[in-house]
Amino acid sequence: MSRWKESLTFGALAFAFLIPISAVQRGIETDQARVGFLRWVDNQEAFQKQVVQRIVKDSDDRTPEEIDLLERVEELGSSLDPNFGDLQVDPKWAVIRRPEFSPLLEDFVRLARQSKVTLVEGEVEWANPDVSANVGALVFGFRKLVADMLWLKFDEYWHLGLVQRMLPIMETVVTLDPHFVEAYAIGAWHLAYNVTVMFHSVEEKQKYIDLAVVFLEKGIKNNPRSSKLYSELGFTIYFFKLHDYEKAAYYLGEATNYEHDPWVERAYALSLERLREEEKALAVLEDYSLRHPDYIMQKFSIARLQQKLQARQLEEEGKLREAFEIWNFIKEDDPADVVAPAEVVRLRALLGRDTAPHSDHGVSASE
Amino acid sequence: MNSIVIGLNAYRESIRRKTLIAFLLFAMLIIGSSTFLTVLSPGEEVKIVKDVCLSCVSFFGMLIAVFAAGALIPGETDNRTIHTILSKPLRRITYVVGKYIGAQLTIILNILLMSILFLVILYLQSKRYTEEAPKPFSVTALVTMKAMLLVYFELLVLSALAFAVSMLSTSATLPVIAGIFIYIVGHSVNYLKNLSEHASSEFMGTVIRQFYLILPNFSNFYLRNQLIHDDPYIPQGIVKLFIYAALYAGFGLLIGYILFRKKDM
Repeated sequence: MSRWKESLTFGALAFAFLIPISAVQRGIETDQARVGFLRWVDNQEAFQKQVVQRIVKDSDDRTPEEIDLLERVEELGSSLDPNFGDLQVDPKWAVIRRPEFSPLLEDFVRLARQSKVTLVEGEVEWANPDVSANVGALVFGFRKLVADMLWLKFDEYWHLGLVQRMLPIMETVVTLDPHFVEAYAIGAWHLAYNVTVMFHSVEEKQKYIDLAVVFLEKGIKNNPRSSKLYSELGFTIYFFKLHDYEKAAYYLGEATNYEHDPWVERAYALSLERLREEEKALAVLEDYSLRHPDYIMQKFSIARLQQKLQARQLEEEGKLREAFEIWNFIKEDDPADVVAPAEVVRLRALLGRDTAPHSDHGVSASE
Repeated sequence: MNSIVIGLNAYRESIRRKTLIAFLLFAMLIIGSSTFLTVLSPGEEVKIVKDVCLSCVSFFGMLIAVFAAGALIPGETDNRTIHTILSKPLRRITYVVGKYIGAQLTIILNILLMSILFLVILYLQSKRYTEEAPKPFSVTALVTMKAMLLVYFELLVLSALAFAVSMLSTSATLPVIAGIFIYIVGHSVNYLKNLSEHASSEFMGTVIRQFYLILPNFSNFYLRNQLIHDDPYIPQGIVKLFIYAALYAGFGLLIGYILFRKKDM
């Protein structure tokens, strides 16, 4: 074979390798876009739920194109699988990979390039020219390691009391690693608890609690299937810090939809109990009890809920005194219960009893 | 058959090289000491261990791959042992493939050793910081090994290209520098994509995009980070990534052979 012919053959061979390489690269790119699309669909479904329920979001600042795309996705998804909204990642992925979804995926990529969809941060390298989007490339794939090192710095600043330096570091950490769930959780906890105690003014305290909420909401946006972030926002912030049991129950309920620690269900039941939704709380705990029979504490909680339901039943039947006695017993028995004292006061008013100590003694003694 | 014999020889030769042993020892030291970092980050112990170890395997894996693949043939040329081998009735393609197999065996052994230590450290940390409902360690071990496989796929591409460059050189310096350069380019190639989408003309955009599609893109393998941290959004599997790495390995090997076949020895 002549030298020229040989070179041509080898050149053609090398070229033959490059064609499938570029085809596979295109395939990988499409898969990455689809994963971004799937994340966006999940994210939007969670957001839509909040908008509809008017519990978390008061305003909807999404673009009309984004809302329209989501509606089309839901319509098509539901026609292909009636449970599309509730599907887990793998079955949802199987639906989204179907050819029927290709035009919607193209629309999504187009809107993403125009920054008209609320993308998950850190997942945008394939679409967004923003500098922060390329931090992954900047640190040669060691993005998570750099985020960890900065996180250590964050901890150092915390121990030095340099709160103002902590905030930008927190932001940088989650920009580098938007799936650093613990960073959102611990960062928000620092903001809502440790930072607020440094201030005396209510406004300052509220400012940092609000920042904690925003930080966790950002975490949820980036990780819509992370139970930990919902439970942190529900329990650590709304339940314990703000005593907003409605929002706490909402977020804890969301947390139970994903893979979660057992305590989340107990906390959900507790927040429902605080909302005076004893029947629902009892159902949650009974279901939990079947799956975790070894945990003893919920048996006490179940007994308490049954007593509360009994008291409500008695009240409905007009037996106010018996209902009062049950509530009074609960109040004495569990000082941490915040519903019982309020119910005692309410029933006392209904019974026209203003001299509480005598009756309280009476009930306690009889018990 | 001859390729395998040459490969095994190259492997034996490689594992005796002090540079590679030093890299491995450094890597093992960092993986082992990652456990001390956990003291500084309460609540984040397992994550820190995973990130430090994965990055360490990636980084030292890169150095080992570049040195193992890039220094094999220049080393033989330098020692003049290549003349003895090629004077025998042996086709050059057999020799090239054999050497490449040897380099891969070296890389696999090193990754395996680092992975085993990583798993041991991860196991100890997981036992120490147990959650309320811990996952069985076998599940963690499986995803860790999958992530290690992705590290290896990346090194397969890198070593193939460094191996191809080594055919041009008589010393190990050029392929090593080229390998590190390829590593940096491979991690930065996404810039080209952004550039193609915002190019001044459609023609320029198409040209840049074609470059983007054929250049080695190591960010494809970032999936390992998601895998190791149990990100629920990893439904796409790793088959395409394996095909990508295998095609690139074949391409590197072919270029290597083209450069080597007429080399005057």
